[in-house]
Amino acid sequence: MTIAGLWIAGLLSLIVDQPAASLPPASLKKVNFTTEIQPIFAASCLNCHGSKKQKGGLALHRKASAMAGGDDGPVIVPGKSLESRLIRYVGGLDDDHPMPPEGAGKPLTPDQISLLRGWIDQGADWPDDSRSGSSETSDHWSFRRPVRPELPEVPDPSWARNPIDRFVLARLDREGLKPSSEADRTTLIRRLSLDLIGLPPTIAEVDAFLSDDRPDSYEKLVDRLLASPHYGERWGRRWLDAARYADTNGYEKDRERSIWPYRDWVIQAINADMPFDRFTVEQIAGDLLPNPTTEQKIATGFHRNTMINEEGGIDVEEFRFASLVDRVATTGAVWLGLTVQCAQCHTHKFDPITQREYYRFLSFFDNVDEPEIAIPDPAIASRRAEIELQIQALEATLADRFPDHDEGRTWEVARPMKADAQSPAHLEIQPDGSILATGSTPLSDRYEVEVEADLSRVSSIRLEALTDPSLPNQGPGRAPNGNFVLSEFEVKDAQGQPVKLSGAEADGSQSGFDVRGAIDGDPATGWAVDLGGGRLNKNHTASFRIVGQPFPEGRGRLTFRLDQPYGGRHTLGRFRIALGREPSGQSGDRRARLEAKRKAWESSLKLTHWSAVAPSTVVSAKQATMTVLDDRSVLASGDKPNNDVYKVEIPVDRPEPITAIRLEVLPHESLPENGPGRAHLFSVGNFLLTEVEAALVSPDGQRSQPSKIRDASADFEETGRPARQTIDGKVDTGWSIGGAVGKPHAIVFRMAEPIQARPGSRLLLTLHQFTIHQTTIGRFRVSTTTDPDPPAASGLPADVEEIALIPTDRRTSEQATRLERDFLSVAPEMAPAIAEIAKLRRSKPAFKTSMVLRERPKNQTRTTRIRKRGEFLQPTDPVSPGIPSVLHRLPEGPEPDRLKLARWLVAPENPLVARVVMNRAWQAFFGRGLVATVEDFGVRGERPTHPELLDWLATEFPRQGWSMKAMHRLIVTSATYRQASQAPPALLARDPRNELLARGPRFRVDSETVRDIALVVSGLLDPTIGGPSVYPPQPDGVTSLAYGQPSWPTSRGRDRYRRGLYTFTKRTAPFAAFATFDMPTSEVACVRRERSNTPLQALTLLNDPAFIEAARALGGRIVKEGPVDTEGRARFAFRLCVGRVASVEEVASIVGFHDQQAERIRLGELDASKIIGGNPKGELLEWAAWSTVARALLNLDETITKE
Amino acid sequence: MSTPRQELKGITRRHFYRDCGVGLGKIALASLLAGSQPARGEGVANPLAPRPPHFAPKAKRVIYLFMAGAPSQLDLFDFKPSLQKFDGKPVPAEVVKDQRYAFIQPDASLMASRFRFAKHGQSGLELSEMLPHLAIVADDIAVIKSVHTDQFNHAPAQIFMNTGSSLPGRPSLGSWVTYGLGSEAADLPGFVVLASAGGSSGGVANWSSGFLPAAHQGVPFRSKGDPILNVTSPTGVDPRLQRDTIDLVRGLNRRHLGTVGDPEIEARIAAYELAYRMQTSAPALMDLSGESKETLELYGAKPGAASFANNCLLARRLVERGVRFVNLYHEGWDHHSDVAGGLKNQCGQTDRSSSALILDLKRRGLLDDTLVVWGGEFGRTPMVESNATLGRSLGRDHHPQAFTMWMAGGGIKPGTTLGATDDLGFHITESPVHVHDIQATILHLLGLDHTRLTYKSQGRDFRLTDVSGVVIDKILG
Repeated sequence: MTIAGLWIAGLLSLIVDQPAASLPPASLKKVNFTTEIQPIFAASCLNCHGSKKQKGGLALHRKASAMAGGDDGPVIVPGKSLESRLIRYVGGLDDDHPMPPEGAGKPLTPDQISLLRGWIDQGADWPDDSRSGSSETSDHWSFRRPVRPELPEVPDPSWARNPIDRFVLARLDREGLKPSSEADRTTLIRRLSLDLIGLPPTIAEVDAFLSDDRPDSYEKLVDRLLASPHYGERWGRRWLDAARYADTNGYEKDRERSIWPYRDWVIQAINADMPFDRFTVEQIAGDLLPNPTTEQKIATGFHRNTMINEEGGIDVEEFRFASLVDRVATTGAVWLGLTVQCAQCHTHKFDPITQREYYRFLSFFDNVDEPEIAIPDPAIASRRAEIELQIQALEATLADRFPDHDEGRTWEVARPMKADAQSPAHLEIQPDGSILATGSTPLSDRYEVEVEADLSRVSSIRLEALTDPSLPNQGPGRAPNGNFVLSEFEVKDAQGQPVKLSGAEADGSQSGFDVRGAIDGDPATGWAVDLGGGRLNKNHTASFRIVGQPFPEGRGRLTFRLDQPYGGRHTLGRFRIALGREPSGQSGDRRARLEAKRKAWESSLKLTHWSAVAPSTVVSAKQATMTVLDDRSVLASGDKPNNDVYKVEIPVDRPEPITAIRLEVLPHESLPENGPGRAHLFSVGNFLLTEVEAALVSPDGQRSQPSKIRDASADFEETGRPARQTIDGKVDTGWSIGGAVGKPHAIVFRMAEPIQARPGSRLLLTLHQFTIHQTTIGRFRVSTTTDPDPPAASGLPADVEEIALIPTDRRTSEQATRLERDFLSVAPEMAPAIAEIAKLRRSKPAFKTSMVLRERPKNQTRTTRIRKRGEFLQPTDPVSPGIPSVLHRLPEGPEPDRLKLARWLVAPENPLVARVVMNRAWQAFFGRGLVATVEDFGVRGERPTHPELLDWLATEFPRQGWSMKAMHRLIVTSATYRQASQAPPALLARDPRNELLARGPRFRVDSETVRDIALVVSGLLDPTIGGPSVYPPQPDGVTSLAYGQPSWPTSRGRDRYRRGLYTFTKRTAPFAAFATFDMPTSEVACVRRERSNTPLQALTLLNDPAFIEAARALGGRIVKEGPVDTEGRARFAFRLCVGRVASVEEVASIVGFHDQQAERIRLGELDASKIIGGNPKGELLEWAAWSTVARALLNLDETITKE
Repeated sequence: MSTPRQELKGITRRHFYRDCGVGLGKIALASLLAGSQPARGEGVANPLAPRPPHFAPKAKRVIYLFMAGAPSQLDLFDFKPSLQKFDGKPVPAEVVKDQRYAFIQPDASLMASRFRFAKHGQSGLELSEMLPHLAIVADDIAVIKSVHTDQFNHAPAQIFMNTGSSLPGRPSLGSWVTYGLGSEAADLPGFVVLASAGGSSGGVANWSSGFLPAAHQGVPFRSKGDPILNVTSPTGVDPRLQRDTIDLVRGLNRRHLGTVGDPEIEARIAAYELAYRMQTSAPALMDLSGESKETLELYGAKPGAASFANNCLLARRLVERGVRFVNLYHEGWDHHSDVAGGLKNQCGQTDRSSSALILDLKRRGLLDDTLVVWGGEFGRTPMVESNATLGRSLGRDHHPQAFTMWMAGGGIKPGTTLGATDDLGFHITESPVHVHDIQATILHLLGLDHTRLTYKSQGRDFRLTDVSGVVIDKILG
């Protein structure tokens, strides 16, 4: 820890109440700051806490920074000298950390301390000095605005083609060096093509340039290349390095993401030569522009390229903080050329950036939500509309498809009115009509169930034994292994007369426990289901035929008796009874049948009046954005934590006691799969509601004990996750709706005692969602009822339930239609038609999406806090957005936001941005920046080799309207750029890294270009621009080292041969060939690629499947398109690869190699079909021989080098 | 070419060292390989050429057995009778305080180990019955029961253990070591990675060279297909054609070098020669048919299989050939449910061969200067993990506060046990060892001072141990 660090730590531990006996008294006379205090600071403090150094983040040379304090808070408390850390320290109250520290100056005299105390006690008045409105200053060169330099005088100005050359030449003159001669025209066109569009020229392009004798042929070539749509690909890829673009989320799961529209935006913006200032503003804050376009929103994907950790059990907030830190570092490196991130943990050791300033800068990015947006696409929209019309047409005619006659026997669940057990066990009637045994588990039992139903033509009875998570081994029985024995099953009619049964059948009977034993009148025999092979704990069905005629038309009552005397707790745990009805045998009036069925359905519903209440407050414990919508529902957006607790307060405005609470969970287009849950991994669109509490808050804020909830029921329950688990007191169990996402659902909580509230009270509903995979609720609505006997969940959507409560004759026609539509959607008769509609709906093509930034609403802003030692779990002082004071000021006005920051970055006053951007461009052309440390223009960075040239470029850039194309044109038309790259030994010894620019640039091309060259010369390249990323071939097993060992779905067809920048970028398993050739891994911003030279690169070019494919294609091309003679073919092949004409010796080597391989093929030593990978017809031998030549030529240093 | 070779050589050497000194350019002028003389590019400086350490080393090379997923120290090494006593009781609140957990609730019940423990060897090292083979070498290893880490999720913790930072993008241990010492392998990379039982959470970041030159990146060797990507010539290309091709490329490159004078071409020529040799040496390394039946049985290795056992044997073969750092990853220790069953399986796959590696190195005289390290990214809770929704029972959650690692060989005091945890195995009570201390100690044994092994990037000097790290003197021999 540094001395300053210790000092700060000491300050923190200071106890304010401690008597300050040893302190000199505060001066009682009026203290003058300028004449009495400032000199003390200057003599004893400013050395470490001034403009040059700000140890501990404290600077005492300016009012604002002194009053703000250090990394750990204020040091001056006006009016309270004893509470001011400044005094405690200079007064030596902390023996461990005296100020000034030992060796850093003499301790303050008692008089000085007395003055300081007096000054603070009198209010610490610090007059706003004349310079307080100006920026902090620094002597460091890069913090001063570039001044446009005069062009230097040079002895031989004729060499200079533009101002760049004057600066370069002046330096060479000083060094006593001469520039190299101009490179030959073949080299120049290849150099220009690789630099401007990243592709080598074709032979025809080379020839055209060589024969173009117009004086401005070079400039014309430059203009052609700048206008090429491939220019945006070449320069876009460089920008994507800085943007840390990738197609996956990173970290363990490293799932695919959709952000390629941002990549395409970059390509298009660069092709359109979008001015760099606008290019900046749209990427940093496109969403905050007035009426932003979709493109401007997509542009904010720049800062969505941060990684996302989706490992189970993480703290999502921790990694959100990590992404913020990355956004600051990236902004610093890309626009400011500063290592701002060094101030995350402590005030920057070298550059004038305090830790406080760092967090002020970070807070610009703290108030964003991170959604995905759908990208409008007319083709997809019209296809979706088309399908929607079909769906509507089908839905409108559903009623016409209702069958006009019964088709065979139909089953209908008999909803029990009553279910009793002889034992103390409790039989609960479930919303689905089933009966669940709970409470004590007797050794044997007898159940009686009463139903009243439409008995018309009922001829059979079905008994389902059902599983349930509450039962041993899930049941269906209550024996320890989940079995049961039903000894007798008896039915009586309304008159108490037995209904005789026969023809018992079951889907399975345990050996010795045949289902027929259940109706044989013998209590010693019965039905059981331990079928072996894991078939016990499943649903099972038995059915029985009624002897004699079916029941006549009309309703009636039946009583069922289930005798289970077997013992050993072999009683039924959950079961359901259904009635089997015979068809009426005649086709009737379709409409009348539908009406009848609908009425029957309606009368089976148990409904009540619910009133939906808009919450007065709703808070997410994990800072999700909660918005109350017009329909009183609440939508969660923004942060998506792993787990959450929603606290929802609803005003109680009716005097009647609340008897039940309904929680609807509702779909919304912003949610994954339309919700209602927010999960986007694994169970997409689902949620898990683990515990629910309801309590009253009185008007004066007193909170009551939670009210006891009698039961919970839902219209739909995922297997193993029933509604009642929300009130079982267990945090790891709950209710969810897997299998039925995308639709509204509801859970109803019936209170044990009615909740009686005073007027002005609020009902506090706490929704616990203790999960690990972001399965929180996305949209919900709370309703209450005062019905003295509220029913369980009805299964109807809330709006339909409202309609169903209206008497038939008072419903509007819309309401009647709505109700009928809902009936049709659940009527078993309509299942095939409904399935058809669902299928159609699924066939709607989805819009493409892209990840964007979106500012959080004003009422949901986060408070950014300094993090002690940079640790996210140690927040300290709150800070507001701001920029380091060493740099130019933010524009005036209240509440600086990201848009202000973006404009500040490209403000004319910014001393850094134009230099930094021009320096990177220079690096791209010459392999090295004028400032070699392109990411660090701070005091530890390298000094520019040509400071005046850099400043000239930096001032020229805004003058050219921030046009990148104009600046690229300027650079490549300079004589400096056009020099030959040969390095005579003496020059190489004098200037090995070509810092002085006495020769042209020569270096190996970037990883993607290595492959693009092979694709172009072999004729394989597919030049399509944009679209989703592709999967070109690579060796097997590259992705198997990544988590989950994902496969690499190698693209078929032309996508195999797309340019390198379209290759799918998987962060944890980068494309092998590119990684080998130094493509950055896109975890953090990269503004300078490495350029290594390794044996693995040799193995890639020699043996990688993609390059073998290219060699074969090039072999074929040589034979097909080249001349017929061997020498001619050798020249053709050589020119394709490197552009220039081969020398006589080079041709001779190639021919020699070719002839040798051709001979070996002829002799059968080499297998031609294996070399070319197949059995094609034609000149097999020649093709194979030339493929071996092609493979060698693709490996030449010159082929993959910009000469 | 008229250029005196010496001149070019001088330039490139200067060039290289200057670059490294200031962290610039990183124009890796030569190959990934070290040792032997490049056929004709003898003038080229080599980033992996052996370099002197800061001080006399105890170990010359490292085999690091990384148990990805985090094995349960409480069921393998750190026996807790109190857990037996309080099995099923809730963990006392004052023990847990405000610790964060990945999955469990902080008031979960304690769970005793289902395994028996016994003392072994002269040292009396206490081990679970799941580690019968490790018991054989109990007197050869040093066990540290008091390791702790800052991270409690797999990917960040693995990357932290390997690179000293929880975020991807920093150089890994093996990269730092080859950066500091180079390698003595003639025809193989200096830093080799072998993986069994699946991909690890940290992925390539675990063996990344970060901001160090790419030549220091860990090179994965695969047990199926090409051991190194693209090390096999394509179909139809026989060794002679491969040689002829490289000769043609070399001839044309050399001619061009004469014209343009760029030393990069010299480096590329050398890289091709070494690549050619690697095509022979890598498959030869992977070919276990020359190993005796006794040796194969010792490890439980089967030629052709993809297993941890094979990888242990390959690790020995790699260090025999001068490879500086071998990193074995074995995935599958993340036992959130059924920790007992999971350990049976994992120990079944790893115990015999881990022990065999020690025995084999010892009898070949290699253990004295080869450091072997065994451990995961964090430990596991004394509390049970059960979760109906996730279908978990009788598991253990992530536990960064205390876990166990062992080391053996070069410079380690054999038969040592360092550190202790409280009665419940929750907190460290004696000799805490932080991840940065482990890293500092490994570098120390190799003769490197972790505070001096630095590299400048992004405007500051970085080191493996960030701003901390203390060498663990008590386990040094």
